[in-house]
Amino acid sequence: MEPLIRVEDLCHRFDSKLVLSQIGFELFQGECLALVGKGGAGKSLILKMICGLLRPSSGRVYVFDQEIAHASEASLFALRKQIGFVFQNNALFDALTVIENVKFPLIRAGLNDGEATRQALGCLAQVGLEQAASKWPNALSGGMKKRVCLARALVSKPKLLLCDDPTAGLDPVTTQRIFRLIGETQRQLSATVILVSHEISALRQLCERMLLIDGGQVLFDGSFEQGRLCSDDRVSGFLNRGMSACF
Amino acid sequence: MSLIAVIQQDLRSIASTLSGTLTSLFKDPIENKELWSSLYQLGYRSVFFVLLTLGFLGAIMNLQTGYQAQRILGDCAMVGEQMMPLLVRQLAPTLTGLMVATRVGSGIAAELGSMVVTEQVDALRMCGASPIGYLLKPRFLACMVMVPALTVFGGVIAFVAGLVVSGWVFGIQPASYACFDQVNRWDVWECCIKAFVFSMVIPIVSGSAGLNAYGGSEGVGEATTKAVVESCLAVIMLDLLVGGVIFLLR
Repeated sequence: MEPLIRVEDLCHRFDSKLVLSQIGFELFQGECLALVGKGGAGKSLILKMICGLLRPSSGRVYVFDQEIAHASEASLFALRKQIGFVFQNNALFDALTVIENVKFPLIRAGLNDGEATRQALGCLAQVGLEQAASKWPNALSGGMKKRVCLARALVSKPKLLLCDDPTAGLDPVTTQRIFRLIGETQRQLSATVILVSHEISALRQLCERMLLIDGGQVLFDGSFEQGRLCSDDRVSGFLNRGMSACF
Repeated sequence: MSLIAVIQQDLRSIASTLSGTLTSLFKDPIENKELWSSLYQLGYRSVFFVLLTLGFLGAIMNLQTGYQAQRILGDCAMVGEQMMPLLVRQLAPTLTGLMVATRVGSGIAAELGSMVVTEQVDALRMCGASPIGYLLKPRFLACMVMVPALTVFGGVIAFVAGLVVSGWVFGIQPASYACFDQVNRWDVWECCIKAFVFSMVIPIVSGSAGLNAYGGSEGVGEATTKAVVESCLAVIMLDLLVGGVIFLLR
């Protein structure tokens, strides 16, 4: 079976500073991968490189058998139709209402307004926000914005879902709700998910595998249980601290 | 980074934004909602500012010209006749261009810059929309419609203000002031070409600054300042270039 995502020797520099070094991993259809590490480790950069929002300085990224790092913007547009992205800062369009935000990817894909609205409302109902459809993003709470962002990422029924810290700054109840929604979606769509988060206990329930990034390098690739028992103190220490912080 | 490297980088970025916008003009469909919104924001909401500025500047220019004519020649009768070509060739297009560069250029850069730093531009790309096609093209088209229109309105107001001041301060008759004998077709062409060129350069330079913003609110502030400075410089340099070429062609 061919991997859905293959990352090879990914390196990235900002000016002369090396921020990612020789990142490599594979991910198969339906897998859920937790991308963990300290703040500034380079997790968000990896997500952005997987969908072609950022070009790596060197290395290769294959998604759906297509090489991303050197692909044209036109071919990336076609590829991104199969990818949903939940942004760390929500990135909701200020000038559009909630329903317009959610149906935006469908309209861009050429769906007519009526059908796009119907599907967007269905997605909003799934995240429990059908009543907020006509509101403006600035009238929503942090948790509601996250759910709208999730609805927008899911509305095109993506095969690959990339979530960049989808629960940052949220209360524990909303955090649980967001993780439950991501889990349900993954099961319904059989989607492949990469989840960046600091909620280790929630990630452990949702993801079968984790990739620990430290200083721009892969420190550990394996299951949470393997990581907890890992002889490298940096790995077990990170996981145990993350677990204890949740209780 | 050295100043030359910064200028080279900015010029490359402006050239890339220009080519992207021109390609998008013929390739992508026009976003009607964004276009109408841009026409309103960039045009209608700039009218008062442009008219007020051009009105005052028209009055000041006539006041100073009349004062000098009275002092040197002892006669102000030729003020209108001499002012008209200057108004058509220079005052109306260039001052309108500068006013639009400050008001509209800063607005475009701030709006696009804040969209970049809040990842909305990345979200657009993820949704299958090109930032240049979706965000910049409507603003570019709006400027192409509104800058020439504002130039005409600004010119008319500057003319009226000059007429009033000349009559009131120097006693010049309206019929004597409104003398367009010295205005020829080259002056009108120069005005049209300048308005057209400025309408293209302002959104491109400002859009490039906004789309290349990085960091947080500080980055947006820097992009906005850069947009205003570079747009104004571009207007002044192109003013000289277009004026010089037409002078040689006359």
